[in-house]
Amino acid sequence: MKKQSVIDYNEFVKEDRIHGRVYTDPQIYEEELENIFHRGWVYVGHASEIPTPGDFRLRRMGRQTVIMVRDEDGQVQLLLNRCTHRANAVCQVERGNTNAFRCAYHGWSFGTNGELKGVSYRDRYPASFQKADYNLRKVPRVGIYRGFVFGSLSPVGLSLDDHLGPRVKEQIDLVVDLSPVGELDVTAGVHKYGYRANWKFQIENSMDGYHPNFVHQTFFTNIQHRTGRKLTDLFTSSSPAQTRDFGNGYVMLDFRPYNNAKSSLWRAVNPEVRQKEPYIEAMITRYGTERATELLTTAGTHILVFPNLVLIGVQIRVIQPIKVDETEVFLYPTFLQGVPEEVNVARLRGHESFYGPAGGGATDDLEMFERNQMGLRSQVDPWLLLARGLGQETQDEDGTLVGQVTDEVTQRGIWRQWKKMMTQGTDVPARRRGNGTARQVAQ
Amino acid sequence: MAADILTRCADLLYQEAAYLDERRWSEWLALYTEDAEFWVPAWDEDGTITADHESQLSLIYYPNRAGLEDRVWRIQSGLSPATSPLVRCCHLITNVRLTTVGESHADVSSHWQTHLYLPEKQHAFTYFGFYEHVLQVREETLRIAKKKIILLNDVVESVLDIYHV
Repeated sequence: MKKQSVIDYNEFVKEDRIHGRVYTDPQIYEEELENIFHRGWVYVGHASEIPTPGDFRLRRMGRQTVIMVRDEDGQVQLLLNRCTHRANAVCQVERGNTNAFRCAYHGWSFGTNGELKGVSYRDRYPASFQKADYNLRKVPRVGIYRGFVFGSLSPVGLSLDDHLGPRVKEQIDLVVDLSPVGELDVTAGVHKYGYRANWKFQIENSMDGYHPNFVHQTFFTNIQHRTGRKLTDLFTSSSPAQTRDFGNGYVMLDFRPYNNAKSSLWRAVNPEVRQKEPYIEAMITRYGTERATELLTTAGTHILVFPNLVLIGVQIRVIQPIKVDETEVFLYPTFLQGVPEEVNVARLRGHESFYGPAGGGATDDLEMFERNQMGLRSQVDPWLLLARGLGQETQDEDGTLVGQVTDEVTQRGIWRQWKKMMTQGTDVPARRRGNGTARQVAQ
Repeated sequence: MAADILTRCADLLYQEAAYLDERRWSEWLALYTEDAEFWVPAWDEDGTITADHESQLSLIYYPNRAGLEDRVWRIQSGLSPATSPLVRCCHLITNVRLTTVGESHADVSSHWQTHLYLPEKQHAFTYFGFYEHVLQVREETLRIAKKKIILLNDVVESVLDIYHV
C-alpha cells in the first residue's frame, strides 16, 4: 500500500553526497523497512539448506519472520511465522525438520505447505468457518535462481529474473559453477555477529575498494609474511580492478582485470590442496577448457544483491537490520558439491581466517561502522562525500557503469536504488540502457 | 598426588588468564607448545555446537600455534582498529576439574567468564562458557598442548579475539 512520506528523499541523496540523517533517523529507518524490506526482492535463504521435505529455516524479511520450508511435494514455501488464529509465532527454532507447525497456544496445526490441517474443538466455530481461509499466509512472491531463494512481500512488481537481470545472474553463476555439478551446499554452519551501527554501513563497506589498504593492513601484512603474496596492489588507485554498477542497487568489485594479468588456473584452488588435479579435470570435463579456466581464475564474485545479500569470498552474507543503530550479520560459508573434501576444507579455513567475528579482517570493518555511527553525532555539516571517480565512469553497451576499484561508483549505485525505493519509484529491469541517469558519462 | 596435579593445572589456567588480562602477550604465547591446537567451535542454527573442525565452521581453528602468533603480532602492532584501543578485560575461571591424568598429559575442564569494558563506548559486556585444556605435564613446567573454548553467547558483539575468550 503506497503511503506518501513527509520526508523528501531528494533532499537527502544528491549526486555526489548524502545527508547523515539517512543513518540516524528512526523515521527513515521505519520507512526503509516498509519500502525496501517489505516491498522489494529480499534474500531469504538457499534451497540447499532445506534439502529434504519437512526441512525448515526461520529467517527474517525486514521486521517479519518467515519460515523457509520444503513441503511434502518438494516445493520451497515461504510462510509467515504467525498463527492465523491470534498471531502466535508457530515456529520457535531457527532450524529443524517437521511434518507440521503446531501452534502451542490453542493447538491449531498447519502442514508444511501452510495448509490449516487441524482446529481444536472446532464445533464452536460458526458454520461459515472454512479451514481453507486460515492457512498460514505466504510471502506473496517467491523467486529462486540457482537455489538462491528470494521473497517479495509485495504481490506486484517485476519478476525476480527481470529485476536481477543478466549481469547479476552471471555473477551468481560464477559462484555456483565452481562446482563441477553446478550445485552449492550451504551446510557448513554460520557465523553471527552484531554491531551497534546502521545496516547500510555493512553493505556500503562490502563494496568498498578504497578502504582495505588502511583498515586491513595488518591482515595483508600477515598474509605477505606467511605466503609472500602482496594483496595491497589490488586496492590502490593504480590497480586495474574495477567497480561496476548494474542498476537496481546491484553493484560489485570486479577483480577480473587484476587477476587476468596474473592468470593461473590455481587461483580458485588453495595451493595447499593436494588433490587439485581431479577437481580441475572434473571442471574441464563439465564446462570445457575455456569456461573452466574462466571459472577457476575468477574464483567467484564480490557483489551486493541489494538490499541484504552479499556474495563475497566463499560465503553468503546476509545483513539484517535490528534498529536504526543496530545490525546483525550472518555469514554462511558454502561448500561445493562434487569436489574432493580437501577443497571444501580449504574454503572453510580461508573463510575463518578473514571473515567472521573472530576473523583477522572483517572485525576491523565493524569497528569502522561503530566509529561512523559515533561520528554522525556531530552535525554542523551533515553531508557525506561520495564524489570519488564521479564524472570519470565509462558505460558498457548494456548500461553498466564502470569505475576504478577505489571509486565510489558502487556506493552511488546503492544510494540511487535506495532513493528510488524510498520515493516509491517505478521498478525497472536491471540493465536498461542508461539506467535513467540524466547525466552523460565521460567516454 | 592427584591434588598436587590439580593445583598445578589450576595455577596454569589462572596464569594464562593473568597474562591475557595484563596484556603480556609473549608470555601468554610461550605457555602454548608450538604444535598446540586452538579451537573455538561455532553454534549452528539447529542449536548444536560444531563438532568436526574439518567439515564444519568454527569461530577460530588453528592446528598449531602460528595463528596465535599472527594475532599477537596484530594486537601489538596497534594498526588494527578492532584491537586498538584494547578493551579492559578480567577473566574469571572456576569449576576446575581434572578429567584425565596420564603420564605426561592432563585433561582439565573448567568454566570461564570474561568481563569486558570499552571505556570509549562506556560499554560493559561478558562472554562465558567452558574450557577444555590438554596440558603437557613435565617435572618443572606445564604447557598447553590443546585448548578448546566453548562460547555460550551466540551472537558476537563485533569482534572476538584471544583476550575475549
